[in-house]
Amino acid sequence: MINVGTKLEAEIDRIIAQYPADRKRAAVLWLMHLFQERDGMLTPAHVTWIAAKLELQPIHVWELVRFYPLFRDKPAGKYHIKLCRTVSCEMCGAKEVLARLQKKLGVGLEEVTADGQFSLSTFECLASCGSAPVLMVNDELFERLTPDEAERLIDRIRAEGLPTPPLSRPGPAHPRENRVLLANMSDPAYGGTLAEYRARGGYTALPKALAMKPADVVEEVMASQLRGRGGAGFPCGQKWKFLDQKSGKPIYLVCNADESEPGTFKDRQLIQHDPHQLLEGMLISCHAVGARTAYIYIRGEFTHGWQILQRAMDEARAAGLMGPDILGTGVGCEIFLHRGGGTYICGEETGLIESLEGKRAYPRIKPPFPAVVGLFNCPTVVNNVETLSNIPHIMNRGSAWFKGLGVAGSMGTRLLCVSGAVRRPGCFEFEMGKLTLRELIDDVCGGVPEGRTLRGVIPGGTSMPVLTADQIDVPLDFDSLRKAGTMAGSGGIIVLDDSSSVVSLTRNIAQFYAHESCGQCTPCREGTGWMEKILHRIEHGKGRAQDVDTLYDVADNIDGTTICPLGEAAAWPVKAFVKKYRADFDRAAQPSAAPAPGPEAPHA
Amino acid sequence: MPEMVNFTLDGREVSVPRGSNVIDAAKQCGVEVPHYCYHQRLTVAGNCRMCLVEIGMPKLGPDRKPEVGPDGKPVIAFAPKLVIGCNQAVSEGMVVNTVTPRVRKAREGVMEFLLINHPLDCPICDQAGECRLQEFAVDYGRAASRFVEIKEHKPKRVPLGPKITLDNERCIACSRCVRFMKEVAKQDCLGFVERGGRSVLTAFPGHEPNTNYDLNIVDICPVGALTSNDFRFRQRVWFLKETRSICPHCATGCNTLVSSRENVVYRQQPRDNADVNQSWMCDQGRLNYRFVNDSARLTTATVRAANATDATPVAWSEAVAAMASALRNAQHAGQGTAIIGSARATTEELFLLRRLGKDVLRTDRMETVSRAGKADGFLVSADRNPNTLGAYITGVGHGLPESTIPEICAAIARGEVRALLVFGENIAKHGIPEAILAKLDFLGVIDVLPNAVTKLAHVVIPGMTFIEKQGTFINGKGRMQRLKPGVRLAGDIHPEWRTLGTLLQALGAGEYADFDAVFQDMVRTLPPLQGVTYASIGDQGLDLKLAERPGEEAVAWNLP
Repeated sequence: MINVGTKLEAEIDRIIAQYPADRKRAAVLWLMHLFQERDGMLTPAHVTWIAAKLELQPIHVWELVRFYPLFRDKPAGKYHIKLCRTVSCEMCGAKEVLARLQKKLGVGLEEVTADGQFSLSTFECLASCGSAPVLMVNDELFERLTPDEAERLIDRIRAEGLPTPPLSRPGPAHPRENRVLLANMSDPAYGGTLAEYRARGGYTALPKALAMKPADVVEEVMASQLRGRGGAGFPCGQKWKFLDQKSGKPIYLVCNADESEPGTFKDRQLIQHDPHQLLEGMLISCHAVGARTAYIYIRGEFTHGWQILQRAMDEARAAGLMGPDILGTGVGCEIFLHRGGGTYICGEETGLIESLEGKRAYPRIKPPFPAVVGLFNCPTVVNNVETLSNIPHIMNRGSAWFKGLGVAGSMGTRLLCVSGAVRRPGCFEFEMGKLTLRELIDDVCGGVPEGRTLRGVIPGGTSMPVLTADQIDVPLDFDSLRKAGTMAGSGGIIVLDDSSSVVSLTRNIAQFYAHESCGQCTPCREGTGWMEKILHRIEHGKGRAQDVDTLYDVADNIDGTTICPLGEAAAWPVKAFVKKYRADFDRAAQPSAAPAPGPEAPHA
Repeated sequence: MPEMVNFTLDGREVSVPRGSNVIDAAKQCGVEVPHYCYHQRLTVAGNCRMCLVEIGMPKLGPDRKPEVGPDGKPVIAFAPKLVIGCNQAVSEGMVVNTVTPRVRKAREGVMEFLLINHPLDCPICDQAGECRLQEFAVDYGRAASRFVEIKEHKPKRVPLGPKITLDNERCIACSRCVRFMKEVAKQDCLGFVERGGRSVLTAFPGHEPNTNYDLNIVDICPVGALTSNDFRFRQRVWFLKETRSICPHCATGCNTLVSSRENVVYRQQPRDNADVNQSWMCDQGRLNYRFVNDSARLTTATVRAANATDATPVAWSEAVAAMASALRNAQHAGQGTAIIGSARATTEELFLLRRLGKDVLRTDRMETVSRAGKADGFLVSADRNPNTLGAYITGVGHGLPESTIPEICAAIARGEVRALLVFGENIAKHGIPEAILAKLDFLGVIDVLPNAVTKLAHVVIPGMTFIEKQGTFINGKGRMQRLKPGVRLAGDIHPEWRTLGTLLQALGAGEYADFDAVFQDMVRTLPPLQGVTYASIGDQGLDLKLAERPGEEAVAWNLP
């Protein structure tokens, strides 16, 4: 048995109360976080205690311990290092950092130093691609590391303990930017507190919206033609209208803050630097759709993000902006935080809902869609952080203003995250369709590094088909990118130059999806791992001439046959890379081909 | 009649009851849609992706009416992606294509994915011969593998509770077992750990399956991942002969398949019957078959003189004659006689016992041994006899919970009963102690295994177990179900209906040329069975609708 203690148990009871009484299971990830933070790992005794507390079977908890990568059933070091190995970080030197750390610490992956001080692991995209390569030590993020800096960091931790680096934020606006969502945080002095947010006009949209009929708020958002910023670009107002308002059940709003599409780090900025903008957007949206309870599903690696949001929520509640009676209007709304466990598939809305309910994040078969049967079997709308952060501005300035930004079909601004082979990576905000991908890369981000040649650009997170160097004169809006054979996706733009091998990049991306496949359905479970293995072999000079065709066909057999879009997310980039860079693959797959340079990638 | 839905299946106009999904609907029309995870008695998981088909619906015009094309037929709008048949109900006007090149490519793709990390250890796999992977690989597999990578290695020979062994490398993660344990067995104990291709089926240590229904997951596992410790490595399934039978464990009468080879029973599995046991049976009943091939089985009739301690083997016919003679003598001497029957006997056997008692011995002292246990709320009945109703209808048994065995015992003790026929029960354990039995002038026994009573008996005639003979049981809900002979033991063993029929003939009470003659006489004689034919019982049994039959308050005592 474990010793829980009255303080922790009180905290646990408070968290359980955030969920409906018959849905205690939803608290399970929270409880796992709390115990792991206290005890360093989760033992069978923890599992049994949590299961009993939540009236579950132990297997239900055990499944989660072994599904969500943030949880451990083995001890870690006092300082647990999580090095991002995904595409932008690898392009910017993560492999070299890893090799140096292994040498410095004298441990391999998933090992603990003899003194118990350090343990080392790689992690999938930590959503800080613009400052790659990055690693986390416990809850702190360290950015732009060279092998030397990584080594010095270890020395420093040994000498002084864990430093707390400041949270980096978007730099000054480029003249071509039109910052709306990033406006407040562009001021380096802006701290994101309630007072500061209010001082800049925050929480003026909320009373305005509360004075309106919910249907009118929905109409205003419909009229704005705001499209979802999570990846699919579905019209937000339409999504709200699909909600089943006649079921008699509660309606839930869920904010998808599980930002994890490689190349994407915009929600991180919005959460860390302007939390009230998001909260105000959520409160307005809840009023619009008739939700009295909302959850923010925030990815587990956003260790500061959830605490910032928690503080902001406490402030909002104290100020009467949130709670049973908002600003004396009689409208009530509660928002709760739900911390994830480090799983890409939780970005898929039904995977997210399953995870929120306290299960493995197995996406659901659709239909039914969440608008009818969602969280706790109730009508649910799931919106992305950026989408919701737009809502206060639309309410304040009106849909006509919003439609004046951007181009037809792509109204408003869009946060774009640029990473990889550019001189000035970062998070920017532009009116959609008002600049081309080439202008973004060359004019705003300074182009590829000196002496390098651009090879291609992934325009919307790694799941979107790559564009070759001669395809990037495309305006950055939903429809133009679709016409170019790709998609705007999550706004994560990854620039590739000739310093990295296309085969290695494709392998890195395939490795990501193989790692993140939930394992539920056959084509993705088996196919993603197969693609990774073929690519790994080709990358290391053990290819065969027929491998490239096989690879393409495997991707094609995943495409369109899976339960959720992770299948396509894994298949599309491979298909696009093979199609567009066929010669690279064929050359690498020759049996005599030399292995790609650099240390061998950490291989699952 | 259920409401029907018309749809087009591979170009054919067909109709099925409303509510059917594509897999079941196609099956009803003779088309197999291959699948692994779908099971008609479990919730839909939709994870194997083997049942992907093309689905089209009539395109609706602006007036919400189907658009008609130049050929006068409705214009069909096909779903852009293939759809899983398990989760798609057929609806009016739907078009389902299961054999197009697109569907074929999808099936071939899924098949290949399922096999790349599979160990392909069919030569040593118990499932070989009845494996869905093997079956669909024939239809959709490749002659040569394109997979040259190292396969995922996972735990093998994992005990999953006391009855089951798990091989995770063979597992295709269809989750049928997970769903069965949760939804049917009500022990939500299985799950998956890890992710993607590393997913592993497991139970939390100390919380492995431990119900009376665990072995059903071995049946529904479409591959060789779950094997029954009882059956593992004992036989190649293609050598097994399957006989449709009925479990003799309790009054539910689960429909079964008994698998045997060269007259040895190797396993018992449930056979689907929506009105009785759905697709399941309890482990206790399933594993209760070894007595069939018990080396102690009685294979020769014996007679023992009144003063002798040892019995002498004799031919079956001689033993029957000896029994007839002893019963005739007892009757002529005006001595009291009694019959202990068994509610585990077939209805036909019980009918012949009734004729012996009522028509020949003219005794009312007939009784069967009752076995009351606890019902489990699912398949196991509180009545642990398969044919209590048969015993009641024939008048041999009085039903539960009353029993006249104490009276019979007392009558023997008082010397009022001097001759006793014990049929298929070790009555020494059920109310008539050996010391009392020893007082009898004549004790005749028909049974399958030796026991205290056969030792005391003057004539012992070997009988047959449920899987060796024809006959019927009537289950606790009044459903008459058929047994079929599946194995034949060596020895001078005859079905009890023949033994009893010959006995009756020797006593001048009729003649039964074959089993059918017994059955005919039975349905003629017993009002509740009037009009029943052996053929009408079929493989799924026949509800006698006893409650609707006149004079049949018989079911009033029926236990749940």
